[in-house]
Amino acid sequence: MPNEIIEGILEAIRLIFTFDPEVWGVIEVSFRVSLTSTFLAALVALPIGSFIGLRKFKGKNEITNLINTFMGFPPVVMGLLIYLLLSRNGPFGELGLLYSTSAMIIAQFLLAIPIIMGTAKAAIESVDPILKETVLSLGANERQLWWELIKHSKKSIIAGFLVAFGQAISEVGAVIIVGGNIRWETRTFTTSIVLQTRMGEFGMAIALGVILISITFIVNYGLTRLQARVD
Amino acid sequence: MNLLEIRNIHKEYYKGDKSAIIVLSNINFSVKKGECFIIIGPNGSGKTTLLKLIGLLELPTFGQILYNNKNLINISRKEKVNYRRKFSFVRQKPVVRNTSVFNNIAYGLKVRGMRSIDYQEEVNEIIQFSGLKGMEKKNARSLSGGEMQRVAIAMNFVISPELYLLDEVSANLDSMNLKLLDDFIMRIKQDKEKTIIMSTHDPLEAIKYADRIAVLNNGQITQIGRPNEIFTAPKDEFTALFVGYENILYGLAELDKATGLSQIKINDLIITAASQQEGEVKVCIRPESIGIAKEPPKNTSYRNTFKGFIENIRELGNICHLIVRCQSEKFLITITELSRKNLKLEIDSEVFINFKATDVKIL
Amino acid sequence: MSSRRPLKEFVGDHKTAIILAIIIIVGGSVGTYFVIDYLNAQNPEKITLATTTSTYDSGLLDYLLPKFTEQTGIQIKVLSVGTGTAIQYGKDGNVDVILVHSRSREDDFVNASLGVGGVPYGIYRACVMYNDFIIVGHESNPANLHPGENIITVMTKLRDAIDNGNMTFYSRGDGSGTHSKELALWNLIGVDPETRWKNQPDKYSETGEGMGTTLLITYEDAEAAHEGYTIIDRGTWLSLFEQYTTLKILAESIVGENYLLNPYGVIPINPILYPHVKYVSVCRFVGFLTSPYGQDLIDAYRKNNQVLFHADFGTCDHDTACTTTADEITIWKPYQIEFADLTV
Repeated sequence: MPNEIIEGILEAIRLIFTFDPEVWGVIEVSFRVSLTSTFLAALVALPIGSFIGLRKFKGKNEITNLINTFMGFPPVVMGLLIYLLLSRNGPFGELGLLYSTSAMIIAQFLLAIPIIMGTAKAAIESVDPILKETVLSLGANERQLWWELIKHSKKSIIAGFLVAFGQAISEVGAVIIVGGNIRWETRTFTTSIVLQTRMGEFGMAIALGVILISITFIVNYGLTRLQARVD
Repeated sequence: MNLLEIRNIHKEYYKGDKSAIIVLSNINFSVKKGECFIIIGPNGSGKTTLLKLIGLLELPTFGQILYNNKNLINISRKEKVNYRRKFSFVRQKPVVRNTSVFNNIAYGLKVRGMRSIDYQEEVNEIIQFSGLKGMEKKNARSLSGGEMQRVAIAMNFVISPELYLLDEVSANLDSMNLKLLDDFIMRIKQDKEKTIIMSTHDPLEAIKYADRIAVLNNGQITQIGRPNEIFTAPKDEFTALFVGYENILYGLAELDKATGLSQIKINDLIITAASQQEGEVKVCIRPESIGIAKEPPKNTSYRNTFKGFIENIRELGNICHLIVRCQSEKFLITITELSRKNLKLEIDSEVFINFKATDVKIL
Repeated sequence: MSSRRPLKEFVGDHKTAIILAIIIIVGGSVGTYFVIDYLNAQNPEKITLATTTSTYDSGLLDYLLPKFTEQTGIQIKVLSVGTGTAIQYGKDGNVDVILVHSRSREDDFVNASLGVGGVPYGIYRACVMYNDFIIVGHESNPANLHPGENIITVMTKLRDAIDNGNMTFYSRGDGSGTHSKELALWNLIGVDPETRWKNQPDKYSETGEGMGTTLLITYEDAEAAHEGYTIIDRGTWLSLFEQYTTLKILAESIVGENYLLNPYGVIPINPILYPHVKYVSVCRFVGFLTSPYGQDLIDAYRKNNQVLFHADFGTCDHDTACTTTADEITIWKPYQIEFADLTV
């Protein structure tokens, strides 16, 4: 087995530098889907999550519990739900979006929302209450306070984004159900690894795993550097 | 007309087990426009909470806060922001935003919708005044505690609010920053349109700035009055123990060319002080530094000698307080019970009081 | 002030506009994806095929489909899943055509009375090819199987070895074609393994995994007491056997017996039930598979120098456990003409 790992690493290097179209296609789909869904989720979840963190209102505890529950929502179940919704005999079947990257984006978008929402909420709530009072007493209205708190919790918010992205790119259950692992179209790192393992191509599977880990590492490193810079 | 009226304010917090801690109860007072109102009390007496309630940063459990006769409890979020923009709130331990000194100071103006080109001048002026010149671009969080407090003060003063709420701002300040704070407060006090509500646990500071003082103990106001009322006639033991006793006089100082000392005119009384100050001043003389005799003292080095009579005597165990009226002014004098008996001092006795020019403290 | 100042001021003064622009750009690009995917779904020249892992993982489709696309311009998206899932996808109308191997369920799929309101899910099933199943196990062979034994003997020996605790049988347990074939084989000797060895995973274990994984599990179970056996299609076996050195074929189909044969059928989804399916393109695809050209291609396909699939459209007989009716042969004839001039 260790031999296979070493061979896998060598194979990974070869695939990357020979610009193997299949591997680069998989990289492209994985990143397009994961980044788009995470960005889109951030666009929706960040304002809502931070707003929940900002205000005190009735039912806040219940909403918090709900978000926390959905943070651990099983991706496979999400995949199944989206399948049923997009299935031809389902409510959105007319769109014909099943087995497309759009379907994968929708599934991962919904999976990322509670993660980003929860971290944004927690980040806003963890800001020093004295800072909140100071900003308010300087005359900030709610929107200005919100923006100020966002700026102060940039680090945690980026961390939440990273977690959501990490989950999206390494997720397999939902994307294989709604994407269908179609070659050139909806095949991602993870679904490809599933396929290669099934076909007994362990070397290729390990190579893809190595590439996935390396690229995720680079992305994380970049974002962590950004995180350090925003301070 | 009163700018601010606090009516029957009550505030309690709930602990985890739902039991209530009463922080403030039955608070009533009003503040006039242009006044400097000081809340004095020990730590934990509820000063900060009271200021936060006025600053609309917290809600009272019940009671009313009237500003220009409008009740500020239960107003909309938007109105609350509008009222907060008329106030400023400086706290003892400042928190600055994680950005440059300049941006911190400009923030209050920015949130009020001013464009950056319009506030440059004002902000730079206040930076100059606060001695922060050259630090504009530094991150405010990298500054020392004193510098940070200066930024916090500048941040609030640049917005020029109607009402300043200052929560123990002088605590933990070094002499240089105290001087700066003094400059700021004096600058506000000159402007009759600006009102200050300030909390402190330092009696001298209260005497120095206050037009009126409220003494807060354990969530309740024990006494409200002018400084000389509070410091010469404390209503209860707590006030007496906490604030101590001071003779506080208001007069006009002139520099005497011959001696080089200030002559302070208080109606017909002229007090000499070891100072070169001129203009309207507030003077403090500690009761224990005033001497008393039945006969006019001879060959004394004391510059200040006045004739008066004993208006009142308060016996406090083995020491006692004498209230001596000299023309328009009353002086509080502390002597031991034994010397009072020896001197045969009774109510209406004619006496002479004297004190050194160096014991006259000009605030 | 540094040179960065003007930009910062610009950002500061136009914050709302910038945020709005970002939202529009992100929203717009996502919208574009959706529109592209929507249009692709409408494109009659792009069809979706659900098939079993055995046809896909063996590389057969990667070899066949480009030749079809080259000739017709029709692109095929392939979903490679178990037979049960492929049939379900077909029933949901999410694919245009299925290529599966479970004859009884295929018959149900085209049975009008089992469809929706008397309309069957699929129409005009056609035989395409067959391969065969084999039973593999460790060299030590605790069930004592011998080549040339008929299926009844093989299944009886397996049953007894399981009962005696000498081996473990690994079942896919996933409703795939292989799984249903396995159950049919047990049924020949009147055994229902799910009740007979219920809750006895050291005797009969359902992996719930694909063929490759199930084979791996079988390989790793090499304890002396109960060694692993499983049933596998020959195509998958040929692509994997080199890695599993201790596993070997212990039983396979013998002449005159069709129980271990594994016929594949192609079924278009019924356009009456699902009007959105691209029926015309699907018909050209079925025409391709069943044409002499397509059939020759299947016979010519080799993996590791081994024949994996045997074409059988229109030639099926009792031996391959597969029949295509005369009607179906007539139906597909016109669609095969397109490929008449092509040779391998």
